Amino acid sequence: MAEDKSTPNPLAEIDPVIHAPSRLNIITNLYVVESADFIFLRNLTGLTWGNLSAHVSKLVEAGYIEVEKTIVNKKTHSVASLTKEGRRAFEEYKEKMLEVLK
Amino acid sequence: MNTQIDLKSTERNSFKLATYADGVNDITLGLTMILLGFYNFTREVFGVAVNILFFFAVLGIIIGLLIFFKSRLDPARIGVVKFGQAAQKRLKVAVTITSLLVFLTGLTWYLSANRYFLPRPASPGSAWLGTYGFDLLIALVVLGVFSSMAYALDLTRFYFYGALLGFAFLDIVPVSLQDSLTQIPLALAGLLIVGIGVYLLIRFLDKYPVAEAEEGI
Repeated sequence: MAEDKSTPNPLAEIDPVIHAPSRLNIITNLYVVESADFIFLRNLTGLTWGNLSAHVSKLVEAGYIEVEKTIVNKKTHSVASLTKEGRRAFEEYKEKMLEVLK
Repeated sequence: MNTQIDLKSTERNSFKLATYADGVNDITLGLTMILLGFYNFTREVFGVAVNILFFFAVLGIIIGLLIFFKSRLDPARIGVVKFGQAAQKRLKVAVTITSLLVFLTGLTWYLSANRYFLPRPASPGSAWLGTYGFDLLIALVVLGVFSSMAYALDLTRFYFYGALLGFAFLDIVPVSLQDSLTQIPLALAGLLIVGIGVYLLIRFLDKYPVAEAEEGI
């Protein structure tokens, strides 16, 4: 059966990288601050280290967040912040979701 | 289901966690009120000039110690966050307004404690207002300052602090008690606030243990 291309499905335009609940949680929390370290993000999102690491990696791969790692007291200290692209992608995501849900 | 992403609420949650979750600010506030509560007593012991030095020295020690503890406690337990420029600007405006209001309240308190506002001879029509009107004004200012903070930061306990300190300030104009005892209600209110702060601190230490190394990252 041929696909009807006259009425595009708005859901198809939703960014799947942001749409996953855990990643949306991370990106929303980073959107309202300039930067936050992983301890702060873990406390706010309630994710485990493993989950946080996996979702952050996906967001880094997509170019939405950047992570700066330093060594503090012989421990890795990672600070994440939203890139310009990530900020734009999140704003676009909000608009698209409003369109879908109106 | 609420489909809205409430960014203001998210920002407020971040701010609350970074600033007020550990109870340290409550302890500072409570200790400052206790210090104010004993101001007249220490003045009788040390004299006016030494007492002012004593007051600011102790206040400096309280604030210094609590900033030190906060800097030791928070990064390892809740992490570090840097707020955006817009939030920092709002924070500066809030801090400036609060500082101004606190200064005005402190000045009013100081003038009251030094009997600049003794009850005036009451005329028949304004007896109650002449005696309690100024106390009431101070209480309303205190309540207003804390309620504004409570509303802006979504911190319910600050409404309680406003009401508590407002009531304590109601008793500040010397009426029948000895000078050195007139501010005891303020010290008691401060003690209660310190108690709440200690409870919050214990809960904070329990809820946010020192974070282990960033596993798998």
